[in-house]
Amino acid sequence: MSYPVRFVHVLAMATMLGGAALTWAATERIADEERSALVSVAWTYERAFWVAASVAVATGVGNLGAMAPAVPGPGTGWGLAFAVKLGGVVVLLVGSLFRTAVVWTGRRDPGDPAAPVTPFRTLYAGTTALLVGVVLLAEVIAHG
Amino acid sequence: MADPDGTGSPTAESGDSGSWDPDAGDPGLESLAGPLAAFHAAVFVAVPVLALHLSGSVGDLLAGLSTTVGMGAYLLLWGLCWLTARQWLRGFPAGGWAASHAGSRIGRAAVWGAATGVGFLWIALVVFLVERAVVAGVSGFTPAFAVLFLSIGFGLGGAVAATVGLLVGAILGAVDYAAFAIAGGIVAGETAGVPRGDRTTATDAPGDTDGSTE
Repeated sequence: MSYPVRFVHVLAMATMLGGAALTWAATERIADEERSALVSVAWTYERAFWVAASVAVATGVGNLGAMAPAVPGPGTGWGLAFAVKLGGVVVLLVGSLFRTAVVWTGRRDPGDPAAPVTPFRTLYAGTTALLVGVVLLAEVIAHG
Repeated sequence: MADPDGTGSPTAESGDSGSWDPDAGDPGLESLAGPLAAFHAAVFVAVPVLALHLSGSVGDLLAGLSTTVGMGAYLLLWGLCWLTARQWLRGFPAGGWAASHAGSRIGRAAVWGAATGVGFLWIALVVFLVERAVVAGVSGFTPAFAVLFLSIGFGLGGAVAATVGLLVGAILGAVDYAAFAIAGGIVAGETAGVPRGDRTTATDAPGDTDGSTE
């Protein structure tokens, strides 16, 4: 059972990171005048992100359970890396709620259609960077 | 689920601008039910797991949890979060976040959090009873077991679940409200001076509306 759980966990992670990077790329290419198109793309990513994030948390706990009871404590190198990774996940979840709020509000109340897409660019760049950090920690945890 | 207000009738919601019409609401808010439910379920699991890991006891706790039971419990939690988040969002006035009062929104979130907690526990207990009936048959249900299970499980357990749910619901409701209040402020800053009727929407086809911003 552990292999399918790990596979789904990695798939969820790929969805979050790949989608964030693509949406960030879209903010760099879509002109300010096409803001509404960007918001539509971003909202699609937001819905996919939250499904993937929820699946990632569930399968992440499943992966942890597969190690139980021999889970290294926080005083070990592995345990510290895992604690930092999990802390990063919590930060990602809370920060993503804010990002979703901005996208949803921008979708519902778009305002000036030519307003700069800079806020979206910043949000998706930040999301991508944070996800890359979490993946790097996951690599350290998995392979040392 | 029961109306958390206990009024059962459309009345002016104290602290909110204007009267509350249950048939009006703010349909756009319901699209947030999925993201909010996922956020609530994920944070509710991730934060305690982090705390347990830091205390060094996560291994012992997870050792007794099978993958099937764990995944089933998470799906149950996620589903209940979706149901209660949708109900919470349906209670918003027509103006959405901007027209609502933080105190009343967070209060309602706390009540729906309690409903989530009680729902989760009671459904889990029912699943346990069904499994016991399948495995042990009628002989597994003595009068003593029934009294103990009903009073402690559903009764005392329900009270604890409601309390935890109330607290968690209030905290997450506050986080949700803060996130959308800040986001609304950022978007409002970009739309200042632009009449709502002059704004296009993400669903409008190009050229359908007058996008003049002057």
